[in-house]
Amino acid sequence: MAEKKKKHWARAFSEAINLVTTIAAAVGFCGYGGWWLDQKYGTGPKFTVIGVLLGMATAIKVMWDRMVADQHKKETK
Amino acid sequence: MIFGMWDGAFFHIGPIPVDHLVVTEWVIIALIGIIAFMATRDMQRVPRGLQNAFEAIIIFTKDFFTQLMDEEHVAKKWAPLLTAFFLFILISNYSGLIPGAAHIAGFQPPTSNWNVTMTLAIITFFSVHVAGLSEHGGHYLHHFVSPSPLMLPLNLVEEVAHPLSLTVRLFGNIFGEEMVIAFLLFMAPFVVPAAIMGLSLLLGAIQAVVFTILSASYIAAAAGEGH
Repeated sequence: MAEKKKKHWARAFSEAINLVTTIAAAVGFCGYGGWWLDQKYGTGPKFTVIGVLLGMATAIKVMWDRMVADQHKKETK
Repeated sequence: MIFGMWDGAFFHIGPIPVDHLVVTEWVIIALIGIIAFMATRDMQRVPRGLQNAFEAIIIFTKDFFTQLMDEEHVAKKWAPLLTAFFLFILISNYSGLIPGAAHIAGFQPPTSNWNVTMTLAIITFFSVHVAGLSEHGGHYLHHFVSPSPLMLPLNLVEEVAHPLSLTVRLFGNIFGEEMVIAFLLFMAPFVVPAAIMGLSLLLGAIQAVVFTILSASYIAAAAGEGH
């Protein structure tokens, strides 16, 4: 019987924390950057909205990459 | 001074002000250095005492990072840095648990200051790219425009988000914990803070583990087959 390789607990833990914190940091960083630009140039909410959207797009990309990597690992097993 | 936390220069070396956090960091680095020196000054083929303990730690960390990072040669190369991160952050976090630490200049945990956590995260940031470039050469840079050049802004945001998340999480946890302990010491000395300090032992270790594991996973991702 082929032994199924169990994912190392630290790896699973780090992937979970990595995903959550990277998403939060991306949205926070871009949103704050946009808000700072709006304050500096008096452009209303334009840059804040663009920043939050950019952060959300990055968050979706990070999740997509994680899913593709997991799928690739399953297929190569 | 906020809730007993001291801020300002501890002393001056000529015109350069030396912050009390820097002094605490020096003490922590010296402590780790002295213990490592004592463990390795008279090494025997059959290890005993401190040498034995250190060899066990080295074997454990090497195996741990090899499992975590998949590639043994990558783990072997980066385990010293990652272990140093772990020891430094762990002792820094625990330095705030010395009784009355929040009220004594020089005993505030260095990790409760975002300049320290950001410095550690910047070291991780550069280590990640050094690992990627040393494993894949110039081809490593291709991942910034992968799968399409249009993804460059998102990839750049992701690269910045990694050290930012490391910085904010470690700083936020330790700073918040110190604030709570200092506040409780002020409001209800001895009994109530003791329970929180007990919890801090666990949280301090968890934060050190999380920072180290995440740094290892970023380095492993840059050095891995994905690039």
